[in-house]
Amino acid sequence: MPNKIRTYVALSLTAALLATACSGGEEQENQSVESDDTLNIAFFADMATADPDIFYDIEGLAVMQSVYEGLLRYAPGGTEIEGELAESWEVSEDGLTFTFTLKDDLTYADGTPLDSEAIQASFERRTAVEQGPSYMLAGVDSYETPDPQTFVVNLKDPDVAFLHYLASAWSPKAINPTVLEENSADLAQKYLDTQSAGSGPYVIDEFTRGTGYTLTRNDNYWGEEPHFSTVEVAITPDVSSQILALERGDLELIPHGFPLANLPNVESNDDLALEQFPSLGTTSLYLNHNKESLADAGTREALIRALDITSLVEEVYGETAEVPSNAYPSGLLDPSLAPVDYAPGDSSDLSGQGITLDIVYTPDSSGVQRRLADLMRQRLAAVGVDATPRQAQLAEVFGYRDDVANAADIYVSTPAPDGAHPDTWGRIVWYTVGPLNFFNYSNPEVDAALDRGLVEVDPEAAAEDYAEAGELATADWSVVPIAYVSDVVVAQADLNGVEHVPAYPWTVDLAALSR
Amino acid sequence: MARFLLVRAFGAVGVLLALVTVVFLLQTAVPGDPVRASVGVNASDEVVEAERERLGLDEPLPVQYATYLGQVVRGGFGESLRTGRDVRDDIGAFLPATLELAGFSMLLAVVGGLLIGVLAVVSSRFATPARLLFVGGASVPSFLLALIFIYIFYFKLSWLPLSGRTSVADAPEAPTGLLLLDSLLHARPDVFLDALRHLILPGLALALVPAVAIGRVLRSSLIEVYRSDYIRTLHAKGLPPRSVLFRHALRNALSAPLTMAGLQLGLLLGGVVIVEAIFAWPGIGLYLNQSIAFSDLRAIAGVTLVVGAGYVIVNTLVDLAQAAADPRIRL
Repeated sequence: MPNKIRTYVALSLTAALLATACSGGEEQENQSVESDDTLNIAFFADMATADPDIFYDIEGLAVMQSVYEGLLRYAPGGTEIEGELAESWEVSEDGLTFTFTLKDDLTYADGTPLDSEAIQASFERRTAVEQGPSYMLAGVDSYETPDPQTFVVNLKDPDVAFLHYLASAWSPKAINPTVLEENSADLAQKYLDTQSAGSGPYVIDEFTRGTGYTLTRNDNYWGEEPHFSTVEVAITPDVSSQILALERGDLELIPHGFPLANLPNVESNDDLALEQFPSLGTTSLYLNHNKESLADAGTREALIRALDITSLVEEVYGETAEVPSNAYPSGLLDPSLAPVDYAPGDSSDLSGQGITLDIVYTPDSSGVQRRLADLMRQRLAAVGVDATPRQAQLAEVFGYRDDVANAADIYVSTPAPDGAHPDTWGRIVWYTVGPLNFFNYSNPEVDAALDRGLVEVDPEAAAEDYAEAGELATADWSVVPIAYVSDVVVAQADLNGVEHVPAYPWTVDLAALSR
Repeated sequence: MARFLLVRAFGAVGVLLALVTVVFLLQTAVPGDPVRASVGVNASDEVVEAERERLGLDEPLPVQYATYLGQVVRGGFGESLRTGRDVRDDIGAFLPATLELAGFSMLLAVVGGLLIGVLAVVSSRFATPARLLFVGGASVPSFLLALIFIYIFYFKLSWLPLSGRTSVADAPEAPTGLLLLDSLLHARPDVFLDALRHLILPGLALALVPAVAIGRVLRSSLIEVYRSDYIRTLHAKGLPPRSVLFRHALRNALSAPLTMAGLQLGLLLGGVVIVEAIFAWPGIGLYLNQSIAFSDLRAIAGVTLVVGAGYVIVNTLVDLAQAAADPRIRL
């Protein structure tokens, strides 16, 4: 073949191949796309694991909630506890014994009956695996299964938050005993890492790290059949890509991380709907009282008042957050108890002190914490305080407790408690050894009030204890909640049934969605 | 040749040992508590300490270093804090996607670079656009190109997909993990075309900057070669310009562009981290991206070592290619 002809043939073939690749879109879409029966969502990051006794993250909760169920849950939109697998429950007068009656005809996805012994095996596995969420059952003394539908938990000491742990997003879930028995050598950790063995409305069909997950409808589901037969979850770390895919109709919803600056575009787009739900996420400022410049509670208070919290929250969050009414996340305690007041005050004393602060925040896809830290810098500069915002990874922040003298001066974070009970907040952020007590704040009176509240079976008396803890902690100005943050969900306008629970952050009930 | 390869192999071991040491020291020097971050924010102190002990992070530093070195020598990188799996297995799962993307991008970059470089020299009409491309192409970062390409080809024109490696549910995943190759081995043209469609945008986003760099070096090199006496002689003898270019000038001008291609491949592997995140490409860039967010230093170290090893290998291959292209170079 002459050279010229060979060149033309090669060029033509290359062009044809590229043209086919580019123009094959519609055909390919028709093959892979998914019918009306498929729900497409995206996660910003991979789930570390699908094991319900190890999983202790937020991204991925929608999957875990769809494939596993616990005894209790929170009713949509509020903090009221309702039965999930349990039909009813009773708590003994001494607060030590919890008796659960299971619903009728419960089954796992493979048809295995779900009874009290299966629940006990699941609870025992959580303790045996001994990972993050195992603390919820640390106070358990023993279990009893008098009959297949009755499950009894005996605690060592009263724990008024126990029911809330069972309703938590990370509560102990019912795991198929057949799977546990067949994989007993490693407590089924390898199996459950990427596969499901639950009783929820969906099962994990495919779990491909870095790419995504496919959930399919559980044909043996004991409850109401979900509308979508398949849920495709794509790992899409870039928020801009998620937004473009949503606008193109390739994604059904973005449940969190939507940049607040882009919300006006959503409101003007008839194809999209914006829904805002209350959450327990509470943006808080941790002030490092171990630093000389922040050692005095009066200085800490003056700094907070200099920030003008009300206008700061409005400027950063717009209508998607509000200033807290009390020391606890929204809905955990009567708002009239442990109230907070951030009215701007006299900050003139600050300017002469030569205070320099570094403000650390952890990254979030919406960029809101960075903006908050930037605005704090501006406002503090106005009163003569030199502040420098800096982004840090979570691991760095968790190291602060071991070296508070060299830690940040202020840490901006939006923690959320595991459950909707005041103890689940106070015990993690104020308690002397609380896991989210980053700067080792310690007030023995706060600890004592929290300890009293935990074992107080009379709800009113317990509320008083928690109110006292909140008031004492507020007066110390070391952990300052500044914003009740809403979960903002942007979805296709024709998507119905977007249900959200304040205690289940960034999560909508996939089984309740329909089109 | 054998001596060259032997020296290079020893050099590579030294480089990798230095990398291991630096990466390990970084792991220990970075402040923070990645174990607590990995087990969950509300995990009890007992759980955190048990996990720390299980991972051997409570041992003295020299013991940790020796253990880590032993793992690396055996081809392992320890357990990922984020996934709980051996980092070697994680990298094994994510690496093929990156190799495919990097290979495709380099192919585009080399072909594109050669075209640009040659046209800039032999075509007077292309000289000005080429100069603009050399300036513009070098100054546009790959992430910006990625966003521009997505907006045009996915959002506006709907020609190409946004993310992932394929939309075909039952695409073959073995034996190589390279989707283009596996689809051909399984006689699945539908998967091949679909995988190609998914490769084009991230491939182009990664390829443009290296293509421009290669093209620019080739242009300079070609101009220098064209000024040589032997080229003038060839022209004077009446040899057609195409023969002069392809049979004589190009071969002698390839050494510098090949070196540049090797360097660009290293830079391209750096750009992969961002581009894979934007296109949700399930490669080691995405894996690294997620590991950084968790301060999963063992995973970060594993990826660093693999990329480092890849860089050494590529540069060795470039040296070999240079020697093959230019007989004046002796190894």
